[in-house]
Amino acid sequence: MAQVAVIGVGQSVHAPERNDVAHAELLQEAIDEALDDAGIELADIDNAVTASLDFYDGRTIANMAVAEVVGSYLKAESRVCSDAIHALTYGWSRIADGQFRLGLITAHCKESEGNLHDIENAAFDPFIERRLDADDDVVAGLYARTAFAHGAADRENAAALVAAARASASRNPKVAPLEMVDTAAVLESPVLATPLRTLDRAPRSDGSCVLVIASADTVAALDADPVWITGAAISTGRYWSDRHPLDMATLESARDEALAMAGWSSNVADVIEVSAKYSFQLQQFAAVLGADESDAGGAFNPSGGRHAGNPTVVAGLSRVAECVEQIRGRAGDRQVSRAEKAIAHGVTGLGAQAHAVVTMETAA
Amino acid sequence: MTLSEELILHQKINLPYRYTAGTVTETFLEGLTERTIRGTRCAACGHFSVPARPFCPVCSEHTSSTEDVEPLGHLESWTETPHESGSRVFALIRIADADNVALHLVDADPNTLEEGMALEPQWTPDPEAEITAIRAWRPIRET
Ligand SMILES: [Zn+2]
Repeated sequence: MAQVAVIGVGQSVHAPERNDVAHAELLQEAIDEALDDAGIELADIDNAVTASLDFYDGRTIANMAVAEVVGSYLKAESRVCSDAIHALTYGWSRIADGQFRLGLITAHCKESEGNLHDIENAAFDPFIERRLDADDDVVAGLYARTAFAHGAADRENAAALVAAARASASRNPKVAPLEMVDTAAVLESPVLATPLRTLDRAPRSDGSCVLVIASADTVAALDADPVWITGAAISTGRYWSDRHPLDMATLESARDEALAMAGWSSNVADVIEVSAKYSFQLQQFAAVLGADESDAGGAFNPSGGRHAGNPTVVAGLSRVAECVEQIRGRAGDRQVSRAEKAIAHGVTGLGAQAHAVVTMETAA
Repeated sequence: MTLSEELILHQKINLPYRYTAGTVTETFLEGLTERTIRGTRCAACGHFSVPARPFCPVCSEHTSSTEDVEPLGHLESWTETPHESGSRVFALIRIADADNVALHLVDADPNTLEEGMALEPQWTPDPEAEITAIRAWRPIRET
């Protein structure tokens, strides 16, 4: 299996409404930055894996709407309708396979453009659940009540993570400034779906993220600054209402596979970037991934994570981009000391149905 | 760039669908018109699903034969969400002795709800072959 490295990262500024740019322009911001970082031209890329969701983009085959900026005409472009960390695992396997050598992984989403309730409701089965008019917040409320009642998450500590994420966001130049809040402000924000409050949900966001990944011989030929992907795994669980809220088997499966591939015991990462749309999930996922909640804003989500403001589709790939910057020592005010090994996590689907875990290191 | 320079186009996509229920889901939905709730038991692994469904979520076996179940639910979880009508209480309900839970609404003060509480369906006067044939579930009053 060929070694694969990330050699370029790019992120647009993520903000609640990027009314200044259309989807392709938003994605171009991240592409330009990633290509510049890798020291290559768009034409050098031999394949691309893009991530987007049609319902958010308001058009079908939404990947073709960014084909020009991705530069994928007459090349092997493929697309995932999921968090883009799945696109990374796909693009990684293409290069690990030996078939390709230089790939572009792209993610974009504007949560500001569609009706989020209607988009989320369309994900439910049309025969029974959709008629009841539920959305992501309903699923989160149902799960959170169980998690809090059975000690899998803690109401106050979950709120504290939101406050910590917003504080971290102030050190992250890739997200728009957010109002600083304390735990009480989270708990007193308007009801979302009991026991959750509106601040428990990650803020609405528009943004993009792009990685350039390369084979080892390409890394050498380009004299690039690589961060090596040493483990990558995805796992899909049962449909949300067939899965117990406390059942973390899906994430455990992705974690175990990625760590085994990397040859790590569970707690060797210097940085862990966890993606979760709701505060209580952040607690649940952090526990499975071995992140220490008391390190929030430090070794655990130094970027602030999704609660600093990354949209769906993009959030997981942003976690990878942040880990790469940490390992390269380029994370600015959010840099943690001695970051040599990192874990990035992404999640997608109703009630966190599918998880991905990627391990990264300074050496292959 | 200032806000006044940003051009936003407002559009709506109208996409009507006709969803074929399929044999097993049809049996479940038709049952509702007779105030009957149906489940499916997997012949391969024994997993019991309510509502009835065409495939086993545990072992993927086709589950084609349905059985009528007792119209009794137990409350697993609930959430109150703001709504233009005031608020709604969504719930996860374990119906009969199912191995899975079902999403529906509960008609009760959420502050009176308890995990494991027994619930019964409130049927609409003239139930149609839709999940909304059950208007909501409500706690069974101890007598
Ligand atoms: Zn089965």
